Amino acid sequence: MKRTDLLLSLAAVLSAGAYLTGNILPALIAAGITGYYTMAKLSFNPKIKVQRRLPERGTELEPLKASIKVENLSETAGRLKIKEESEFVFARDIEVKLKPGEVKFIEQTIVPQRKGYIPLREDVIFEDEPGLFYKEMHLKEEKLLVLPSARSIREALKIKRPVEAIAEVERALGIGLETMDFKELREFRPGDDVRKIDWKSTSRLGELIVKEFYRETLSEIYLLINVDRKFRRELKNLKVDYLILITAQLVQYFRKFGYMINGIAYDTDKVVKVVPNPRDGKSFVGELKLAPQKGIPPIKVSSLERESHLTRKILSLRRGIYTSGLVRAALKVEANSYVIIVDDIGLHPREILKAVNILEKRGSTVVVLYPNPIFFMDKNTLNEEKLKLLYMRYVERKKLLKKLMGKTKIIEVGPKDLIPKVVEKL
Amino acid sequence: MIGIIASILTAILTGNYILLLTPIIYAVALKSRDIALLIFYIYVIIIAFSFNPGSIYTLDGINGVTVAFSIIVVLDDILRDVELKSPSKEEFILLGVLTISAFTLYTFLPVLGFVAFYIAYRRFGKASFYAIGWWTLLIAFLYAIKNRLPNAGAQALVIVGLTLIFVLLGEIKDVTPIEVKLIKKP
Repeated sequence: MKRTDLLLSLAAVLSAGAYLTGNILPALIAAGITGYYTMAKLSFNPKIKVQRRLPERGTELEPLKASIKVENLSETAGRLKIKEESEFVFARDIEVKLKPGEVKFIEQTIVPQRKGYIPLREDVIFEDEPGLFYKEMHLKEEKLLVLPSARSIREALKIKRPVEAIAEVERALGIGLETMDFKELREFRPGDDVRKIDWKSTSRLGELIVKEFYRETLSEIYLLINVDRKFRRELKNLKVDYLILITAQLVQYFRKFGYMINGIAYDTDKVVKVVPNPRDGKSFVGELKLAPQKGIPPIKVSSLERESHLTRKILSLRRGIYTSGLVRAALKVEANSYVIIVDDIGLHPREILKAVNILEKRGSTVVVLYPNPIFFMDKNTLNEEKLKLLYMRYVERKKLLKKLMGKTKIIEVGPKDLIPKVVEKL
Repeated sequence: MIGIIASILTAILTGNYILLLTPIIYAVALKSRDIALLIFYIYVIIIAFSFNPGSIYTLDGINGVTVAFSIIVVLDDILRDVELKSPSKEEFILLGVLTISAFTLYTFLPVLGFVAFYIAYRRFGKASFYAIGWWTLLIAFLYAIKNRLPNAGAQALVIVGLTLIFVLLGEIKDVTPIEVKLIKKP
């Protein structure tokens, strides 16, 4: 019920009563009440100016101060209520009394509840002094840049387990399970299981020594590498392409344990080269003629959705029945193999899924080693704009990774997964 | 604050002692404006029908005008959030003038009328002139047809009819009314 309804109904009751009872007092009171109501209504003509000044940026879950300038440009006195409607921030409602022509400066405390660009929507309600009428105004939506807090970064770092790429690949593929038969003692390499450290030998020799056991099978491994110019990029200031490092490292590692490894290099449209059983990582890289590529990697994520029927038709008319280089490479893999695809999932996620499907249908076990180009960015060249862009792309890539993880095994790698010894050797 | 004093003085001068209940509404208004408004509703009905001043053209009829004025001042007070604070300089002067004028009803009524219009002017600015104009029109009309209004019922009908014209004048403006919240959501 509205306050004005209450007053008008009282006036109506009094008026009816006055006529029925022949009493002028109720009529006079009704006249007074309706007069009051009409004066309040006619005088209600608010003109309010509200300006909020937000800080340039805030930090997640940390309060920040916004200054609000409110100006009553009308003759109507009343109460101004400011309410933040955004669900992504916590801000207390503000209520301030305003006289005609009065200007007030208010400090508003806002606590952003999440990071990123947060839309802020403020509702402003101006009530007249007797609380009979109000006017609602919506301020223009603003965006606030909220950075992750130091605490949340620290927590994220605690949660993030250091990736041991090769060990993860081995585990994901489940190749050559170890037997109980002891083979040899050797020095510890990154990726080795710490439970295999032989502490007696370690204390005697002064360096980490691990026990090596015979493996059940020596399976054939296929390394499918995207050598397209788009993918291979320079690693920070080392003048070395990180794809070369990862490839060499993988070959080196699996050759060391005596696995048969075959390399298939492909680009967007074709298979570039097939290298059967290379001697070591360096010779493999040499055979593929991989050279460092300069520049910033394409960090934009391609769509996982299929093209429309019409687009597909146009594409098939232009280039015939199209088969990507990755799918062609997958078709060259023998059945029941172990396959490691080294590719950027952001470049052509649909092609990766297609290749994985083909390989799995033919009994192969597949893992995708995904060097995230954002991890390989040189932090010295970053500026604020670039950082924002990288953050958005990073979020897109994480979403895509999450989608693809449900369909195949993907291991995300960064510069920390590169073994310094391999880097030095190259 | 002016409303309490005005209603107490009116109660004494007119002999309508129900007006002495006004402080109760103020006490409730300290807690909730909306509940006070509901109590005001009942209070006004009790006052309006427990006292019949007769014809407006008699001294008793003037008593009715005084009661109506003091009730409007009370309404204004409770709608503006009653606060426990000492009166401002302006309120203090108005209260002083009211109290001094309360020797007879003849002096009190014009002063109360002036105070009521002064308050209306302070609250509503130019809109209060419409009310003054309407009251003047009402008095002039009642005076003009004095001989044609045989009883209080007919006089009440004229007052109500003219009031409706004033209400219709207010309807030219479209504004959003506020809802009554008897129970506030947490």
